[in-house]
Amino acid sequence: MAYSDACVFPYPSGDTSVRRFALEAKYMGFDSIVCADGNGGVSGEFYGVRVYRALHLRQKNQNDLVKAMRKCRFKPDIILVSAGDATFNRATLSTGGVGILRGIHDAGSRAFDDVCGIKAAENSVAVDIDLSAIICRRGNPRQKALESFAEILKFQRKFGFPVSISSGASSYIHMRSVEEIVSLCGIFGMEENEVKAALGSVDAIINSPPIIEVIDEAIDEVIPE
Amino acid sequence: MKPLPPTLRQKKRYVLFRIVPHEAGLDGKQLYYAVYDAISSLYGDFGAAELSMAVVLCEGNYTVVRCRRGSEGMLVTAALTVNRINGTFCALRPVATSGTIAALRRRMPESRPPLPERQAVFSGKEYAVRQRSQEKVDLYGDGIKNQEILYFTQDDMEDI
Repeated sequence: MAYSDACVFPYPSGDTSVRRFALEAKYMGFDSIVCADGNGGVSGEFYGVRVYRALHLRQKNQNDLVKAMRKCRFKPDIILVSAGDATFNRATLSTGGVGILRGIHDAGSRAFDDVCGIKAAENSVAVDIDLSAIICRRGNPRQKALESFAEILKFQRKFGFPVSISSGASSYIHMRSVEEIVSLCGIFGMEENEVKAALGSVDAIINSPPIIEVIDEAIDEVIPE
Repeated sequence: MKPLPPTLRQKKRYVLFRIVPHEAGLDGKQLYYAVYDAISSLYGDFGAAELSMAVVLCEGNYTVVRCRRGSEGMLVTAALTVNRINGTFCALRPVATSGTIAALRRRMPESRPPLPERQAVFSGKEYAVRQRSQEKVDLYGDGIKNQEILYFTQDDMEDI
């Protein structure tokens, strides 16, 4: 299975270049990384690691989100959207083109419910587990994030929507290897096979077959009256 | 208090960690406080007491941390949440676990002499360029508040 870090912020947002991220990701056991914000148009494969170009949107309402998706100057491999309240999340999960819903731990305790879980499963939108909330936070904010991740895990086990795991790293120092991620996700009860499936979900989303497939041979057939 | 006889003493385990980035320049005391803070923050005082953690060795980019046998997993998980030591961004990457320090010493590579430093101008600022390996290049620039560090590769430097 191809493992992927679902969101890193390279230079100029962070202090590490895309290539350096790819190099570190290779040593940490990843096959691909998703670069959000200001990746300077760099995408492709470096040191054997596939770099996906992402559009990270932080809009607060649905109309602004759709406008921002249309205005995008480059063609992203995947679109990441920051979570908001429950209404916004439900609408976002039904919007075509959205790949990952990020930052659910910052959106409040009622931001993700069973309706969101069903919609995420129907539209194959991944819900992201951001490890920077565990690594960089202390005390109450970290406790809330852990609680939120445990809730997402319960919904995932019930509805079966994809879950992605990201380091949210703006520096290579904040990246964690596959084994380290297994260890960190164990804190909120995620098992090893679930972690590895979650790390492979980004490639599955990006390389998923289109919903409507046009078959050329069918066009030539004469439809009987 | 009279010390416990050897047969009653708890078995210990030693975990080797690599410190990133390269020039963190940390001592054992700073590492001890950082790891102890991470453990007590994640597992509480009871967990910290159960682990009975101690930094036993700190050489270059490597450190050896001791804990009670059976709690290595807890120590590693807590150490993974260390992201800042003494105000600088750092991380501890677990390398190996053993029952003896000697076994871990064999896993520590010999320190190599630093490669020659050069200067480069990037986006109008002057940086000291330090080659870490064949591919990795770190750029050190002095900022107003503290030193700015950029992590690039040799290919990036050729593009500049």
